[in-house]
Amino acid sequence: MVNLKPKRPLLASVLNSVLRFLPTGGSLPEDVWRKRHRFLLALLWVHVAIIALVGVVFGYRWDFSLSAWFTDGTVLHTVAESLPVAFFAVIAAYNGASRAFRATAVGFGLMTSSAILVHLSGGYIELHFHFFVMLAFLALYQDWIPYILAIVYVAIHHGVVGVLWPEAVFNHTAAFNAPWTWAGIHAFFVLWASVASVIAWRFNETAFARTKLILDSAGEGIYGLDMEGRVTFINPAAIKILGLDGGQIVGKSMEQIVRHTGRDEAAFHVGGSPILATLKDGAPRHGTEELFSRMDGTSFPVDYASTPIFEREELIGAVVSFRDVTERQRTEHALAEKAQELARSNVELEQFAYVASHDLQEPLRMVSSYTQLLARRYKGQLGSDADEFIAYAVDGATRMQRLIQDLLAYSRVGTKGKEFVATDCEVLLDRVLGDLMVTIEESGAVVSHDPLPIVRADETQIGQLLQNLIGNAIKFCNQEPPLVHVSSKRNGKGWIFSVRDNGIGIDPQYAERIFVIFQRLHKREDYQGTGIGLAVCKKIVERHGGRIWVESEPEKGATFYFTLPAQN
Amino acid sequence: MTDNKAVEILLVEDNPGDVRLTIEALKEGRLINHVSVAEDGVEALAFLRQEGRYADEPRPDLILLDLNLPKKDGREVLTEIKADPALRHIPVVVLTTSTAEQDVLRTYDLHANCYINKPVDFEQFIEVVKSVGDFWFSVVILPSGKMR
Repeated sequence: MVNLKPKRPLLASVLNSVLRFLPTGGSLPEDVWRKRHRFLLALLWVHVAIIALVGVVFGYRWDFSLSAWFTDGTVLHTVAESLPVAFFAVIAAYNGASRAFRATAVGFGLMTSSAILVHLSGGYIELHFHFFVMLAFLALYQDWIPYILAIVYVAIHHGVVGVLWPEAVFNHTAAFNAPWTWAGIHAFFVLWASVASVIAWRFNETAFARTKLILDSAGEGIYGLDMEGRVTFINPAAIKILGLDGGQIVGKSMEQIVRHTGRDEAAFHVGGSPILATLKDGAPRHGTEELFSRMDGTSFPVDYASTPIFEREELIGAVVSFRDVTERQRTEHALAEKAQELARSNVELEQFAYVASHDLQEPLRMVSSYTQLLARRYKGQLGSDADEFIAYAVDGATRMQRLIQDLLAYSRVGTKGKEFVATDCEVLLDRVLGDLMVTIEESGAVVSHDPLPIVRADETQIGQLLQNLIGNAIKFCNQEPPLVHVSSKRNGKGWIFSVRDNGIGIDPQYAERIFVIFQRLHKREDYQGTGIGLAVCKKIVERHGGRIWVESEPEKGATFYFTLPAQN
Repeated sequence: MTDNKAVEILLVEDNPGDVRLTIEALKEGRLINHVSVAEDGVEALAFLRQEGRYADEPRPDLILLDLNLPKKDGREVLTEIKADPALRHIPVVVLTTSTAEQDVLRTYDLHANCYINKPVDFEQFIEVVKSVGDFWFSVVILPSGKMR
């Protein structure tokens, strides 16, 4: 076996595991980054103010000489101390710079604030906690460069200042005597504070990445709206479908990226879109095959859903997802057209069968009538051959006539069907048995039945159906007497009827075939017929939305089942 | 009963095959008759009204009317016969090719006296013609004033 995965050296694999655990950094969505940056910038300015006011609040000396700027314990000196922090705050606010640069400026500003606060307190240990807090806040940028630079800043500050001016950062003698050791202890805690922040950052990043992955890979257009109807986020599919050319979209109002109209173009006035209504009442909306218009005026049909977003039970916006259904509509239309065409051609075909078989009767009548006239007038005068020939001609013509009549009856099921009405099957069966009286009497058949229901059906056709099935049951029987039993049972919304006999039965392999037009299982000499009866039955049942089938074995009788809808 | 006077029959039929067949069937039916043939609806009505060259023709005792006729079809002819006080008492037997056609005709309520499905079976046709003869006898014994 070949191991396709090359074995990695241990060190590389350990390193890889560590790296995999680390966040990638720099991946915050623009809008999220902006928000956090605004917050951290504000935090920075708060520090500027606090540092500048330390002298005033703690009653430092009001000395306005030039040297006071550089002398501890004066109001001017604390104001001067705030200036480097203000400097970082100013450059961090510069929009033209990169995110990393601005975040680094904020990081330096915050670290400087910490250092100054420690310094102003005379190295109080509690003020060192400020570094940890600021580092934790800095992790909000989820960016390695500012973060590492801030840590480096702390290390250098503690190292250099701690060694050179230990009393500026430490306030106990142990640290004065061993500044490197104590700087190391501080660095150790800073390191672990950082690790904790990085872990939180990593989880945060994973959550963002998953959301982004979902949004980016979605085929549907998805965008978010705030309560003012402004876009809070938008996924690439939405940008592509709406033809928005990559500019700043977040923050625009929905009307500036898409115009939502109903099925016809003028259905909603501006602001009247149901999507925006979700922002008013917090109820989800969805629509099918409505129109979205792009800013260039072109429009396309969409299915959309507008879902409210709640935060602590307060409505804060909505997420809109939509799908361009142009292609689906095209397919549906094409399909509908095909179906219509098919229905039309079916009707035409039935009409054709009807007209053809109807018109075929005329010439056939001539053939058959005149051969019969020949037979009547000249029988025994033309020789026995002539008599035989004429007999075959008469027989053929008669058979053809029957075929045509059956074909007519078959096509009439579809073309001359009547409306469905409430039909009492028991009354209907009595009538059918009346029509079959001669057959029943001749064969000595006994036809029994259970109580039968009222169904919604074409009365004439169901009569024909029963007549064909009972007629068959009597016809395909060698026993005396033929026994036929008709029953029914409720099945969901309809009825299952059965016609059971004690006849010759049907080999199950022919169970489907017998319902096909002109298919016969027996020689004409044995059992008469054109093979149309069951085909007509099938067509009638199917026209009523039902199904017909047979369960049988040779010599064991057959039971024909069919389903019909109930009265309602 | 009638004497040996021939029954005057007007056969309205455009197909010569059917004309001959009907004549043969009447012959086989042993009905003493005289058949006149009209090949379309217009001719049939002219014959019945003894117009133009039909002025000397006799009034038929029975009309055998095909449905599919050129110029004026059987349905129109039947309507006009039944609307004409001079003609409406003549019994009309309509020859159809299918029971479906009969159904259609009945819905128009045209008061034909009888419908015959032109059969393929010649023997059957003879039977039918015989029964038409019987029918005719039963009709003619009624005083003409009571005819509808």
